Amino acid sequence: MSIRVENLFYSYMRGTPFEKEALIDVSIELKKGDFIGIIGHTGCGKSTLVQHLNGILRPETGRVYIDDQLINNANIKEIRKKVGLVFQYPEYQLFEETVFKDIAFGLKRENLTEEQVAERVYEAAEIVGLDKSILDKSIYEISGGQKRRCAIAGVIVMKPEYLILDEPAAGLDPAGRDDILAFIKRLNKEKGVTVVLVSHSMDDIARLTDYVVVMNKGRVVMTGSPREIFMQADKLEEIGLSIPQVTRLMCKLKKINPDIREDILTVEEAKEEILRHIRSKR
Amino acid sequence: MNISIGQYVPGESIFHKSDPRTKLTMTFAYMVIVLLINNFVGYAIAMFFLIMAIVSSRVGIRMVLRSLKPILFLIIFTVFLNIFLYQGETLLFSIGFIDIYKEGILFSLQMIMRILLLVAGASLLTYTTTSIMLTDGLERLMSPLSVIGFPAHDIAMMISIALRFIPTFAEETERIMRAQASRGADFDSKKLKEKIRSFIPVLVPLFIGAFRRATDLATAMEARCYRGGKNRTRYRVLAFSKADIVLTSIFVILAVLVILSRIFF
Repeated sequence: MSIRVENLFYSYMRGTPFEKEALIDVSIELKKGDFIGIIGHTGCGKSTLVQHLNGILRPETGRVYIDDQLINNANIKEIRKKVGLVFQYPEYQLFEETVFKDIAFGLKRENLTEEQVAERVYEAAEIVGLDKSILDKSIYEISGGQKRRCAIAGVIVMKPEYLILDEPAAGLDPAGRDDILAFIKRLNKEKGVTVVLVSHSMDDIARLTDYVVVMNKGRVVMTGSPREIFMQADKLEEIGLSIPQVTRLMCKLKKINPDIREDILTVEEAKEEILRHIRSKR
Repeated sequence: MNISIGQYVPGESIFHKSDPRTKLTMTFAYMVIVLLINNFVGYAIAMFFLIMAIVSSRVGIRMVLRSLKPILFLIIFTVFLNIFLYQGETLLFSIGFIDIYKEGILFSLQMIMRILLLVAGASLLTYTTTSIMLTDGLERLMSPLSVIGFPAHDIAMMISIALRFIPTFAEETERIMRAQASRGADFDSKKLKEKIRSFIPVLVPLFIGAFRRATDLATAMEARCYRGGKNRTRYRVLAFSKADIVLTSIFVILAVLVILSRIFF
């Protein structure tokens, strides 16, 4: 069970002088249950790639399989239910009168009773951390961070098996950012939802993911566990990416003191390693 | 999404180099000339000039054809009406109560040529002129009217803002449609009522976005001390060049030939 992309090509504005290749021969396999990160420079094709994963964009050549099912016109609705996609700045797509109605929008075609709809909406609101009292408010009364959660809840309410988020934390304050990433991680760990996270923050990717896809100029240039990826700092810097701040710190420490490990991805790991080192000195 | 009308194709041709005022006047005069044509020789001449113009503009025949796509229905519709409803003299054949005349067919052919010449010619203007240059030219052409209180600058500014935001809104519409589709909206429904309803989730965010952008733009303009056209200097000063002379002369040749064709054929 997985999302499988084979030899995917895609270009924008085809057949005009402005034609631009966005994806070039992309092949990846994203395993079910994993927390997957996609990183790359602005304009490297991340967003284009994720829009192929639930059939919003159709490949020019190449194939996309969801659980061994090729995306086609017949199964597109089923696929979109299975693969939820949260776009960048999703708060701009809210349109209903109340938060409740907006979250429930996707359920309209599901033939559910009113009680079932309410139950699903409350569940989704709880996951994203929206208080029940907010649900009856207008979508223009609530704060930016709440709007963002409301929009994400509108996708989670469909109970997707795969949840794709295109920079879900962009433009939020640090607290809002941590909250959103925390419930996404919980969704992955506790409910077994496969998460694909597009992000610019190497720290977040290093901290959260099991598998990382690195893109550059429309191509997939590296794949692997975050540890494998971030140990190749030179290669990442070549394409304009960096390594997590903690990893950079540990690399510097290693230069001073060669028996410190440098394959450190989180602050917690760094703390352990530094303490271990200090103790071993004594 | 097809937004080929009003899209600039960068280049170095004589059309790109000439002054927008020349191009605007020429386009207008060209339309008058096309409407003056009344025989096939005239159409052949205009067609020849148009094809030469398209080739020398290096916009690419495909781009020009793209601009014709939206009016394809209009062309088919007018041709259809003309062929079946035209009352001529030489009856070719009749199917039931419909009579088809030779004149009807010839007249439809002329209509096709006329629409093709008009639209393709006008598309050349927008393909070779950036919207800023276009409105600059428009403002200068309208400026004599400001003597009688006509707000030339304001109108030009409004047009240029409108043109500037067409691609933005087209992009935003597409983005919102994708976003709603991925959370279960259905835009492919066959029923008209359903179809109209399915656009509410697109229109509401689009309008809100438009108002937001308008406010932001107004604030930004004010922050840069914009206060209308009075005493405003320009970064880009329009000037006529050799290209304008060449373009105008070619146009005069076309006009003369068309008028001659009216007299002799």
